[in-house]
Amino acid sequence: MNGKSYLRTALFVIAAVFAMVAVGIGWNVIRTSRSAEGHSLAGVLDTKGRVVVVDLDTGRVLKQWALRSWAFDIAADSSNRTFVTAQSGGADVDVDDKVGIVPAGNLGRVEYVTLRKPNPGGVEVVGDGTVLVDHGLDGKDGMYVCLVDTNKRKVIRDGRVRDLNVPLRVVDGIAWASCASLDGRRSLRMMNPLKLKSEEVLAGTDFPVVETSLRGSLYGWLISEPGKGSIARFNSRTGAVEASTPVDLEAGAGRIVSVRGKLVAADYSGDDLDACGSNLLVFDPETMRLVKAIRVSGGPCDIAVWRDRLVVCNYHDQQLLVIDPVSGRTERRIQLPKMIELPFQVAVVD
Amino acid sequence: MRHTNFRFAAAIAAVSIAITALPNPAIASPKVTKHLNSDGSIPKQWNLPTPQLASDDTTPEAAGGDGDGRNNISFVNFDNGDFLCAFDGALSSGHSGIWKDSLYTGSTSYCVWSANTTPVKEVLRERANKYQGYDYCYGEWVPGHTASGLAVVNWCAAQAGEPYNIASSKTDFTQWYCSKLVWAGWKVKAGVDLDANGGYWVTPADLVNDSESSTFAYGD
Repeated sequence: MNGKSYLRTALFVIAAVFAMVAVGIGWNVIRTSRSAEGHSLAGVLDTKGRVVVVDLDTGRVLKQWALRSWAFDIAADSSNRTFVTAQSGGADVDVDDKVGIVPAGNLGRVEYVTLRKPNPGGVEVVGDGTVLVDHGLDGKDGMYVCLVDTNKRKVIRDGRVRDLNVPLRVVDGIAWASCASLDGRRSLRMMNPLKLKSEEVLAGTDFPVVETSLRGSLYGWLISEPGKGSIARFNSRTGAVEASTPVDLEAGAGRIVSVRGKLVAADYSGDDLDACGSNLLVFDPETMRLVKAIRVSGGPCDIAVWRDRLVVCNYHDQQLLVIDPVSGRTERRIQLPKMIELPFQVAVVD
Repeated sequence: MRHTNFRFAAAIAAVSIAITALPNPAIASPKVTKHLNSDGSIPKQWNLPTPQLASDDTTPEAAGGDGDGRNNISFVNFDNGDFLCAFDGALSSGHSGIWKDSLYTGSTSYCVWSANTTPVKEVLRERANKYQGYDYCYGEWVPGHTASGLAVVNWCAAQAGEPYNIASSKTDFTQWYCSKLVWAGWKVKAGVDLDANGGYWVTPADLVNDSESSTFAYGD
């Protein structure tokens, strides 16, 4: 073979290699996207503003992203198969004013919607493609909140919630605001999340937090002080406390979910990250009594429901666990990738 | 005898199993109120050695340092008027906020008053766990003046909505930045000057280094 033949052969080989790599990559993307379609996905947020999507049906880690800034919260919107993040950022030059839209369905690029105020702290899905965002901005009329259309990528309304003190919770279409005033008065406000108008429904010395609903009733906490509280049942129309039972907490009053007719609470506190808790507490909603404590090592900092299972985000172990709430058995441990550190929030797209 | 021993052992085993099967009734660590010793000195646990800010490792983690962008400061023992000073390496920057205890029910509570920057510049409330998002963070108190803590933080809260201006002088009480808000609250309501070097500006590092403040919590 002469020089030109060698050159043609070499170029052909190089081109063939590139073609194979391109097809291989394309195949992986297609295969990953196809495998994500129709599957339940967990979105896990870590303390450094990174998110990873896990296919719960297969246990595979699908993709991870480094978000543009530190995010405080993540919510799941099954209507458009996205996770939405509250991009708070830090202070000074690090401050941010966005919500992130993480495309769990097609695993594409994260897009951002610019908000009217900075430092969003919490995000809750209120409807198809609509999220409610609260910020740590306390004006004379209360803490700033806004409604964002993630499909249209814009803020559609904003408002204020007097004395709002922790991120809002949206349960059965109503936003519940746990409030604390400067003079120590604690209260619960009920808000139409689409109109952003709220009214006070409960007041006292304990801090009321609505977390979930079950069989027409609302359940949550009455917190007397950090690490101490009672599990409570609230009237879904009026917010009045119908029943409550003190709970011995090892760490603190964390997220409560309802699954298989029971209430499951994360005994978790972010107050001391070296001792953040290790129990999931299972309660009977009729008697409000503790029926089981599921010991989970590694700090179960957030829980979500996937069909009739618990999805548990483990802070120190860097794992996602799938747990049977009845037997307490851990059915699957999904090790999160190295890039994810100290995961503290999980949401599920079903 | 053998039957008796067996029944006894079985009973012990049954009791042991029953005890271990019970939900763990351990109670969360209680908060401890900070105070001075009877001779006026500060107890050691409320007067932690303050790492020299200049020597603390600010190298990003990827380069082998401790600058990992987060810290594990505990909020358990914070009281009214205590303040947080958090840093991401550069000593000339950092962020401060002052604690309001009745607003605190957990790490996601908006219980810290501070001043924020662009695009909206104003005095506002921040979440406690926001301060865990820096390389390191100090929890500071003002020993001997804890009785003024509530008045101090309420005064800071009363500035809510007022504008932010990093270039404003310490004596201009119409504009704020984070560490100035903390400094002014203690100056106005308790007569305590927390500016370590007495300059035009008071930085978060000044608040930490001042002789009238002590470190009771630290996260790295």
